[in-house]
Amino acid sequence: MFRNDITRRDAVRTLSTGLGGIAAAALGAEKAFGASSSNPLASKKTHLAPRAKSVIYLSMRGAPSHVDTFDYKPQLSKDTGKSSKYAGNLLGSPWEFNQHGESGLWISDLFPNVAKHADDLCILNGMHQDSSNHRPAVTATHTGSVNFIRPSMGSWALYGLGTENTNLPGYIVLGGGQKGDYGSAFLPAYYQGTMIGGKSNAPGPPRVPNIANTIMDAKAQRSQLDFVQMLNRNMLERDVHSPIAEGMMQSAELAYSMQTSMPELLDYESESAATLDAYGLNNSGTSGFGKNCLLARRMVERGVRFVEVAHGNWDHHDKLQESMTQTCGETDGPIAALLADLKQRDLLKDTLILWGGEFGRTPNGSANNDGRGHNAKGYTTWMAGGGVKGGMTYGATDDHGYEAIEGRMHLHDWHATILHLLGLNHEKLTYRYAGRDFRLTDVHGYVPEEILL
Amino acid sequence: MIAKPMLSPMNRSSLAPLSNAVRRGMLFVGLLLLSKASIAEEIPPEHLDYFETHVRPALVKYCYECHSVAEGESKGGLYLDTREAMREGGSTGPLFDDENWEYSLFVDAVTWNDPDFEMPPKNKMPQDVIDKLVRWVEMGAPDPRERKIHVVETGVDIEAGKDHWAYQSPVGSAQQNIDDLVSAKREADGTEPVGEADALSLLRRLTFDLTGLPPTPPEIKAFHAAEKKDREVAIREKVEQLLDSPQYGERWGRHWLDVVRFGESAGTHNMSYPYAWRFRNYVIDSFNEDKPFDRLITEHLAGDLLPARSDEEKQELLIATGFLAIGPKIQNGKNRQVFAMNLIDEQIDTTTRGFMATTVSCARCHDHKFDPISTADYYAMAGIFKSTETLWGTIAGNQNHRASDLLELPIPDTGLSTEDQREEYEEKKALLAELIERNNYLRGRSGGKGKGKGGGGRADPEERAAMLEKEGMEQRDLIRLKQQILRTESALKFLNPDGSAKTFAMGVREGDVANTNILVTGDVTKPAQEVERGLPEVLQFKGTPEVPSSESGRLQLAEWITSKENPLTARVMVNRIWMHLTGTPIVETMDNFGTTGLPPSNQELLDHLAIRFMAGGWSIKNLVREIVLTDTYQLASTFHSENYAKDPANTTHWRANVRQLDAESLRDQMLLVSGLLDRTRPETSMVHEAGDVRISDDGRGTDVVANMNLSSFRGRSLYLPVMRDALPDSMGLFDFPDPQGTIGKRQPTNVAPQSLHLMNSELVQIQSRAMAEVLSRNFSSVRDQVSNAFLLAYSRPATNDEVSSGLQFLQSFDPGEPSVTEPQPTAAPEGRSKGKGKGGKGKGKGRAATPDAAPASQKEPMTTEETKLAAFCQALMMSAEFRTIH
Repeated sequence: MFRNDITRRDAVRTLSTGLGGIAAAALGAEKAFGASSSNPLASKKTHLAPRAKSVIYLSMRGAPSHVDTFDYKPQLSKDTGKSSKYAGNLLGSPWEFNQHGESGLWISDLFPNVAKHADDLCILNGMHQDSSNHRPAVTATHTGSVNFIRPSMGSWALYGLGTENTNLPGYIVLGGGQKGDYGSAFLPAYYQGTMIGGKSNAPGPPRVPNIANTIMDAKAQRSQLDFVQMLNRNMLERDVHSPIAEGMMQSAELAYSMQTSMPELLDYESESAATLDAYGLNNSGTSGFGKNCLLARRMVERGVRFVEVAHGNWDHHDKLQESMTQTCGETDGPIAALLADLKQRDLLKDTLILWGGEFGRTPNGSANNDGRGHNAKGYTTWMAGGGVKGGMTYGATDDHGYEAIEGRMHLHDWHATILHLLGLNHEKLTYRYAGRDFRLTDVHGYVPEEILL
Repeated sequence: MIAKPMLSPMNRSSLAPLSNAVRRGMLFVGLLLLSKASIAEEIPPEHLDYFETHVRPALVKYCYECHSVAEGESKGGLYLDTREAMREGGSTGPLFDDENWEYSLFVDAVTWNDPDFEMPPKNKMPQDVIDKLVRWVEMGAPDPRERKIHVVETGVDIEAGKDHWAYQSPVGSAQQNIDDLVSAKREADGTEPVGEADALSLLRRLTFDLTGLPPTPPEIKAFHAAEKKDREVAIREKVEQLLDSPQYGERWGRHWLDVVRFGESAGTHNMSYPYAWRFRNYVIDSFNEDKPFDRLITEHLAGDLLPARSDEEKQELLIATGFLAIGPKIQNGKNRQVFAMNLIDEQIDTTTRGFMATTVSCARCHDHKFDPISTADYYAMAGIFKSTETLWGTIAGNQNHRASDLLELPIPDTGLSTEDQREEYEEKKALLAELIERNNYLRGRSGGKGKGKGGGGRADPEERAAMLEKEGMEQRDLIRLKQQILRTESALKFLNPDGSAKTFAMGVREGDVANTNILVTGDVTKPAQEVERGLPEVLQFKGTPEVPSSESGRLQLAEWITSKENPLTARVMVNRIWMHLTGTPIVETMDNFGTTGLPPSNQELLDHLAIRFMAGGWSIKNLVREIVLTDTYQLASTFHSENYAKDPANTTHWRANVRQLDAESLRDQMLLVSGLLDRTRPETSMVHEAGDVRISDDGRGTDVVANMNLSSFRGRSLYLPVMRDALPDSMGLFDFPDPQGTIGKRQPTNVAPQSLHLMNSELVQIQSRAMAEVLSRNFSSVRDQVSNAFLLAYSRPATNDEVSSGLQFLQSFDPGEPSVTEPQPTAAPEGRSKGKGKGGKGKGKGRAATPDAAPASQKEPMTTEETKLAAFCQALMMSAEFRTIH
């Protein structure tokens, strides 16, 4: 239904729409959303009533074990040591599970602080996906496609909704990763993710290179940029259709604004001592990830549409006990603080929190029963806030946690649900490219009503 | 009560040769029979009995807790629960010393004779147990515990797999015409070509595509005039001139470096690779001399095995094998076997994806799920690399557990030594002597040099303890001292006595030739059946070379990849060349021609190019020449709505694509228009100057990177350091890929951090200021300055409107006061003015800086007029047209 074809008349008309406008105004696609402004990043009308305004995706790289965290498998513990369906022997979780909150959700001892928010969690135990290799699986988790270059879900969200703050990127990635996972592919360039702070979860404010000018003041920069944009509009007029020029114009405007908005955003150290402490910034184990969680809150507060906070490495083929204790320890406190903080600011209802890895792990042990292999047939992610029911589990794996058997949720379903919560119908959010209408969910996707508020 | 160690120095020497001979004989027998009969049957019954009575119980009781599969522990990457595991050893190497059994690590460890190596830690075994174990080693460590061998079922449907288009030979002839093949596809899809490009757009396109640089104003004027006379002749002559320039090899060599994931550090723990630059230069030279592509691949994989007629050729062939050594590695990994298999996996992946767009490495853990590649195919190829010794260098210690030798080259570098380096070498040598002396003293021995593990020799543990107490030191100080010795020794190993670095290269040589076992799910502790070295079955053709039993098989691997019967190699390369010249690959999944990739958009064209490429002796230059001389290449980039509606991705080539400049071209263009570009090739690389160091992996810019002072480097961008996880902003921000593996097509992005770089970076400020100075030096009127700025930046004359808008900007622009006050940037023409580099390599020789080329005024503050002109020049550099090829 949306087309990216533009005509010369459209392009010429945009020349008069001012700097925020840029040529993308000519994209028929934008009008379909009833956008009041010609800015492709401006807030747009949605298909449905939105339950969430923004998303924070806590991306656990390397694939955390579900049977040791949020998928309680007493039968697996009973069958420990028995030979398994595949290689090796079954390995019950070395950690104890307890029921938490009024809802009585089963959560293991690895997440004592997150467990305090059990009544806000919607635990999806029936997840499954197609690839059990990290790279393609991470890409699929972001884009829905294992093999092809497709737009990331953050780009789709931004395309569908626009942003509420044109002075900051609408899609920000903290903690690093590969560009293809945050790319906009054939969607216009201004929908792609902007990575901040490089790959690490190192403590201290992230470095944003070249954020200040040492030669001219803001007014001078503005007049220089006006001149640049005039040259760019000339090129756009000559070329008629130029995604390159449009993308450069848009990112130049954003860069100009970021010179003031970004230092303000990143100045998390101005938060109260209690807040810094709650996010674990006074503890070397939690300070890296905690800082990124705190930054994520500051971002959604300022209208950033989609924030991803990556953490790794959860690929525990061996030393499961030691490594899980470490990775859970690094994240449990900060995640709990983020949930509490958002709630206290009344932002949780508008912010969809996603937690999960690219797949789960095998119930059978590897590396001499202190590790687990890859398992994409059944795993767990959870959601909180943003219009999902709290204190519930949806879906289930078999007795040992091998395979999703009930309430199965494929990545396409997961993506459809996320878009739904943002007020977007995944079947209607399309983009025409190379003669075809593309969707985040391809030809799939199912939204389970049971988990919606 | 503790008895003296059972062997005194006297009887040690008398016993050793005998037992050694026995042991080596046994090992030989053992290996030979491994696959035929149980080892236990070959061990003399009395030895077997000794093992079961004295050794096994001791190992179980004292060692298994930390070193066994059953307990799931392999401290130091070491298992002690099978015969094979003990012989392989852990991170510190094999446990048994074949030459002198009494120097075996195992003996060191259990006797607590070496303070760095006391096992089990804290609780020494009873002396009688120790004596029994030592005696066992003396016997040759007879050991019946065989590693359990699994059997993996493997096999794929080869016949069905062969149906895939890419595994069938290309069809067509070398005589067809590229334009005809493109037209046929256009007609089928109903698009129409838009007509030829104007002369200056074409010149800019050609110059960037063939050399990575824009045309200079004199070149523009000359071409403009020539084209008026005879367009075809002018283009032909221009193309020849560009193909003959040394910049051609820099441009196309850099494309190739993406495919072979060239990098100058390991990534992860990130040790530097100070000798990787030789491979970079080799690639550039090879492209400039138009080395046939089949020969290039053969040299990459097996240069060391090819005959050389001279030292020069030998040198080149050795450097070529750097291909196998420059990949990313996790060098802080403790487990040697895991490291070795990961290295092999990386080599297989780059070889098969880079040359054949085939993802063989997917079959490491199980048969390939989509392509007809079996796990057996994978391990057949793994055997080839396992029989090869890869040499990447780096200095051991400091968490760098995996260092190796390097290849020493026949022709030494000259003139690379400085006074500083000579001094530093002497200092290091003196330091080493001092450290060794101190070590010997603290360990209570004088002069008596043992086997050289940091000083060697042994002292009575009690005496040693007394000595430490006297010196107020602890055990751990001794360990630190020993590590310091190792580091210093390792560093000296890389230096000539004059302090210059030895002439080393990264590369490979033949190793212990052997087949390898399949590993169950890729797990090194779960070996399954052995597979013979060889090549994937689905891609075998008549005359596929066989791997001889006495060689690794790299030569045969190369022969197979470069055979004209191989349906992939030529297709994959012509697809790469086509993409670089037109912006649209024929097969979109450039590094995956398998069943999960996309089919070619025009297979007739792909096949024709492949056949022609092979028939033309695999000459890359010829193919590049042919393509740029086609009407297809020379099309205008004009938009056309009807064509666009039918084929928005332009797969039918109805027009030339408008392309965004890549990182190198963008930076090189800035340096060219600013007059600061130095086209000479740096002698080495900044990473070589930095020496053997660890480059921080947190991206926060440690001293190593900061010391490089990248903004003032004036050489071409491909000579910037390519450190994994620490790319220069001018590259990394602009989609230069982190070289983790083969990259066929970079993903161009357009994000705000790029704009911030263009607005605020020191690099761009230096260039815009220098460009302004060039203009004001050469043109007296502001109008001429403005119009020539456009000519420089856009490779075309300015329009009247552009000139007047430029003049207007200069008139109204007021730089104001900067919000941040920092010294204004200068081009710092002398390069880094830092002290000596960490590696003792002295200053600035990797740098292309030539002091006299920089305007003297750069150190002076700018006048308002200069600031305005510089702001105008920067605006041009920020603009979209500057960053685009039409």
